[in-house]
Amino acid sequence: MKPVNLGGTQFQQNVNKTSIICIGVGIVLAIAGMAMNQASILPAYLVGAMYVIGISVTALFFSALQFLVRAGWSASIRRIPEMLGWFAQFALIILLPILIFRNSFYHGIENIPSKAPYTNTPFFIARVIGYCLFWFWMHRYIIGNSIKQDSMPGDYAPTLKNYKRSAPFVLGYALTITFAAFDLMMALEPHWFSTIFGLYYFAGNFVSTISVITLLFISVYNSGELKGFISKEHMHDLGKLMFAFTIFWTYIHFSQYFLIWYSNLPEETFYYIDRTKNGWEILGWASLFIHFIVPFILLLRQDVKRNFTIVKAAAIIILIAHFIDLSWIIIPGYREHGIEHFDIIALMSAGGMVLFFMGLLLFFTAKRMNSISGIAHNDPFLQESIDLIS
Amino acid sequence: MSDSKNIAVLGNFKDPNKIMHAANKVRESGYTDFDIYTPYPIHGLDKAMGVKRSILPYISFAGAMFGLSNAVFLMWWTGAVDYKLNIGGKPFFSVQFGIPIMFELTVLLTGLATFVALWALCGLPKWYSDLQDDAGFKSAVDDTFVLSIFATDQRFSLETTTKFMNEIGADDVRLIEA
Amino acid sequence: MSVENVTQTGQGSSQEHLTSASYQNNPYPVPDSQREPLVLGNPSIHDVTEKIAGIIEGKANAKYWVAVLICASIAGIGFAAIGETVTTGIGVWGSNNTIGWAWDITNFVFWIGIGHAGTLISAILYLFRQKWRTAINRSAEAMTIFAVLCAGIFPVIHTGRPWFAYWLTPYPNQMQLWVNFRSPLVWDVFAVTTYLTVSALFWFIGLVPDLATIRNYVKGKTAKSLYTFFSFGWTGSMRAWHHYEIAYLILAGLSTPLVISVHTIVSMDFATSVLPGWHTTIFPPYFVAGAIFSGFAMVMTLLVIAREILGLKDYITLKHLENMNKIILATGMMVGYAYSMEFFIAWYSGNEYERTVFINRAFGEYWWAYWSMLSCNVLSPQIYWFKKARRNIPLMFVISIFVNIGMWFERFTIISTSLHHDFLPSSWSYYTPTMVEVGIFVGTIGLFLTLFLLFSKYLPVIAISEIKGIMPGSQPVHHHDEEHHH
Repeated sequence: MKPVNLGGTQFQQNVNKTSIICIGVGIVLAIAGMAMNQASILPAYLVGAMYVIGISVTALFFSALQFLVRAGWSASIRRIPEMLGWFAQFALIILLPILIFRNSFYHGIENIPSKAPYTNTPFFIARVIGYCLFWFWMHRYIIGNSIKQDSMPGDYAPTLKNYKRSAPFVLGYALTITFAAFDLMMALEPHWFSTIFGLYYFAGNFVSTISVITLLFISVYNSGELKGFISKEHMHDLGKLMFAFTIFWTYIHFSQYFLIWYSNLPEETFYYIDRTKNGWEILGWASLFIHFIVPFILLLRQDVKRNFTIVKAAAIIILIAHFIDLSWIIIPGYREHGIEHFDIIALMSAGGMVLFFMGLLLFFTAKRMNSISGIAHNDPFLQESIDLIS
Repeated sequence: MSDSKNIAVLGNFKDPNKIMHAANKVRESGYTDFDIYTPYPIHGLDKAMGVKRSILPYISFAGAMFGLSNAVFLMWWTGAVDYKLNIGGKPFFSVQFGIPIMFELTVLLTGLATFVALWALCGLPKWYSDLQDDAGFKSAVDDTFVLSIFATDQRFSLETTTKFMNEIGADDVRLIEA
Repeated sequence: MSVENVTQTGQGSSQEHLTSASYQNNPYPVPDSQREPLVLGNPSIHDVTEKIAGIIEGKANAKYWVAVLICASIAGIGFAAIGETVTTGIGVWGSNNTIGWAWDITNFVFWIGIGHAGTLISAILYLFRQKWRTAINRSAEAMTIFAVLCAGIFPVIHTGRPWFAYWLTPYPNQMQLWVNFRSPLVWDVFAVTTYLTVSALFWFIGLVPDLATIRNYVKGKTAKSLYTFFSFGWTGSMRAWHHYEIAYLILAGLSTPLVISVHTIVSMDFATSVLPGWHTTIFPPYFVAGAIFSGFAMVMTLLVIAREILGLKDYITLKHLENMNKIILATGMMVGYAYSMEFFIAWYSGNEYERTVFINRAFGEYWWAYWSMLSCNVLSPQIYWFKKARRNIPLMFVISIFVNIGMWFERFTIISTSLHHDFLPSSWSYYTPTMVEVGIFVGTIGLFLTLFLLFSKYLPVIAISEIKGIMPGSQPVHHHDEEHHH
């Protein structure tokens, strides 16, 4: 089959337009919020960074996962996460301010002698650079091979290589995203610890990434650029994944919350106590409501997963919920550093940063459309994906 | 014709495409009281036959709500009303510790409701069928698709229905009498 | 599968599903090894009936009855040991004040875990449209039910007075007491009974159409009337299939969170406590992954034997076994991830009790249990990175046994190492099982195998109607193709 160039299409223009709006609105909100409450600069930046890095890196994981399980259904939509994943290469640039101003971002994590062998600054910097290099490498190899397949009709060497490589890369993804969650988010509470925390960050990322993919899918479907390759069946499957993984996120968060609530140990229960008082409980309730209940009800029925309006609404709600969730984890971590109470200004700054970074992600995604085919046109399972019936 | 009564006209099919085609034809010609017996579910055949979507999910949902409300009531009433016991300083009732049992009872009652409703909607168990002695019908649980148009259908007449069955490609068209 | 695309009348969506002419014929065929057929030997639909119903109709040989006899005798030993426990009291066990939960709860969790693969295969793989599940789901579901039955024995006899087991249920009584809904052990009662009930319903619903097939196949009078009775008079009516498929989907959708909830609640028996080594937030998903892991290992152990003896190599193919080995590798990595998170966070927490327990776990008196667990669960499946190993039948049998052993040790490690050194050094203790406990455990293995042997002879070991439905040519081709091109 022939490559499909999405450069210059209506779809690319739409993504570009959205990205410009996001960046513009994001900058205005973030600057206004940060000007009104300077203490919100750090948490807002962290929320934005964790949000966009999580989604772009998980897009790489999504692609690798398709190779790992030899998925046929997704072959014709796989370029969407692969284009999103391009941004993961810039993770280090986004994290650079955090590396430089570590002591302002994280208070006291270095002052605990028993943890120092792990939490000291040089090791921390080395680790974060390591994660970023791994993600860079993951993009180069997994996505690189997927693209290489485009120019090699009939010779499946790159795809077969990816079958082999996807497993170690998925493993590496699991470890890097876990320790990134420990180092960049759990460290906000130097005394607190939770074994499930990495999985929790992953769960939120995965469902958000699927939501972004779904939104881009709906946009490209409506613009008609991939006519003949994609159908409502793919959206049905994406909808199922969204449904399943909002429940998964809920399950993971419930596991953490419930066990801490029940055992009521002072060394860990303060995490939730501080997040359910001084107004912060609003975010907790909001995240329960729009990260679980609303998407669950919206997506429960089979037929609604083929309804564009509903799926789109669910995807947007999940993305907002992920922002609320990250804000709930991160912003109260600054309660002794300028943001004592639930602060709508801080939330606004954080929302601005998320919009700004997501705008950048979309901008680079649109740019990527100029250089690679919009469809993995030599994928061995492309026909299977085109013929998909879900 | 004294004591024998027409039950149905049966025809066999072997090809899933042909039975699909036949089902559409039967529905289009206005028959409503007919059925197709197949060894495994054929995708889309129910729709081709014009079968209305099952109400089963609503019954399951009712079961779910029944289970959930029972669980909440049971834990709240026994713990916070009928016999208050302070155990480890835990609240007498709270949603948090109630979640496991709320979930389990919801699932249990949904499962039971679905099970009962399935057999009720299928009209089973029923250990007798007017068609049970027909050899083709017996092989419907093996490898044959059997189309059956019942005499109770308003459009049924022995000649036209038999002719119609032959036209839509049924093999071995036959009348079942009781 | 959506039904919309197959109707000729095309109610809305046949135009939706665009397949332009130029892409009709894939110029690059899929590499051979990637999509193997699910059933080998190209049997007809009738051949499937012959094959599976033939197992039931055929006469079992002497070897089979010897095997049943041996397994039943082992089960008998178990029942004798249970009798000894019940009549004398649980003092005949090695449990003591410090280690109050030992073999019994280890075995309970072990069996419950094994029971998870069946529901996973039948429900989760069904929802993910993994068609290869059809060859193995029936036997895996049977194992679920038998394993949960074995599991249920342990907490009941652990109560000491099993004839009062009904006290575990909330019912109005003279003492006006209710069960304590704040206790994870009560959640267990609800979870396990719900799981057993729903799995049994799911299994039975799946069996009904197949029992109808067998009803029409068997010749013996008693057999015929029994299969007739239990097939509920199933005729294969498409109107019934319509309800049936929806019910099956609902039960699959229901079983998926259920199976996860059961081991989650089992994990909460430990994790809601304040004991170092038990109280850790990753326990629920970690236990679920472990349960799937051990369940698949047990399915593998039995299927490798069953496909050989029952001659089902064309149905349970190397592809199926390879897929299961991949799942074993993946879930093995997941439990490995959980072990390392536990260890890392125990250190990272800076909590001296956490740290001590984990050092003690690896290097204390129970070091052998810990390292057995680690080498069986994390190291041994690593060989499955190689395709050759994933398709080597003797090897996969051995690995599956290793995993079974490793997962038993995992539960033993969790329970015993956290208990035997508690906060008060004067009450530290060590646990060794007595012969009675060993007898009960071995007995449950005998019971499990007896039930499985009986199942494999008297019930269809492969879901006949499901496998027929996925065979090539068994479903109509989509009419939208014809509409577009003719």
